[in-house]
Amino acid sequence: MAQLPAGDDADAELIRRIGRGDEAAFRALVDRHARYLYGIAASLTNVTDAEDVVQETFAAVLTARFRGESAVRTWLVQILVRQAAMHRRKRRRPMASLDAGAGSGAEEPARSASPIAGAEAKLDLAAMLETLSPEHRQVIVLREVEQMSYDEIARSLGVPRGTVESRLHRARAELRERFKGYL
Amino acid sequence: MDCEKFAQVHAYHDGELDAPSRAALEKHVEACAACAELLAELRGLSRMIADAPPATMPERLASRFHGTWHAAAVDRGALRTVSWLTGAAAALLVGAILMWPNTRPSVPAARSSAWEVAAVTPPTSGESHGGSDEDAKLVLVAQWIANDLSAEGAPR
Repeated sequence: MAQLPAGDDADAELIRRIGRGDEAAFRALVDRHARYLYGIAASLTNVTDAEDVVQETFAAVLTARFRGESAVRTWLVQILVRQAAMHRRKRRRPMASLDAGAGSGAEEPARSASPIAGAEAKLDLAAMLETLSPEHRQVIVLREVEQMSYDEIARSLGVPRGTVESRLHRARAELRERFKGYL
Repeated sequence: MDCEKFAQVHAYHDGELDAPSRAALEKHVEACAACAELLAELRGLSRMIADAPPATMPERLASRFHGTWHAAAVDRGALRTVSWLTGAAAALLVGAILMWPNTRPSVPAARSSAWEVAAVTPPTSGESHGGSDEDAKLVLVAQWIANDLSAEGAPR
């Protein structure tokens, strides 16, 4: 495989090569981003569904068109968020509700929603967000992890900016309540 | 305790305020305990999320994701095959409809009744447009109608 430039340029080059049917470029893109995307997917869904969501994201990369309006990783996360939402609708399975402490996936290891557990053993991101509704997880992940602006989140989710703000405020209120005393 | 500036505190924390608004909010936070507390909690929450390790991807998944390339190629091939078969089936159906012999019995055109013909036949040049001939013709047409209707209503 030819030597790749670093960062975004390398990703853009990989996308171009994938468009020309270069399988090695696809594998390289997977190797560069799969772990990161899996972490985000697990935060948006659960560790079991995350596998399918990431695979569906890479499958979508093969048919979607990258316009270069953002970094490739941001574009991948936007695809991932859509795939996670579609996956949830397909499964027609209720995600963790606000009053549910257990994990939402059948095969997912049981986790405690107790903030004390969070203090004793460092929670991973998925565990921190598991009690949030899917919509609230989305805005928290896109804002706090992806560092997207309100307008970028609104464009990614196809909702008005005001909706992004209100979801973000409510999601943070829930998290502040849950982790009160540990912030 | 809530403050009407809470939404602005979120926006400030997220870097969504312009310079004058930032300065104004910073001044407000110095004097508002509720907003100061909220801002401290938002910062703590962001720190906590930033420090939270992401879920670790099992190594076995790398090969599964690599395999997406071939799975998608198979899907595209299947889609092309299905499209081709659908098109061929549609063409056969249209051809069969066009080539099918027309075996339905032809329906004879309904014959017009005598009074219907008379009613729509314009007067010939020899006929007068005067009142008496016209009246006579109307009477004749009325009789045809009566006869025609009575013949249709008669028991067979």
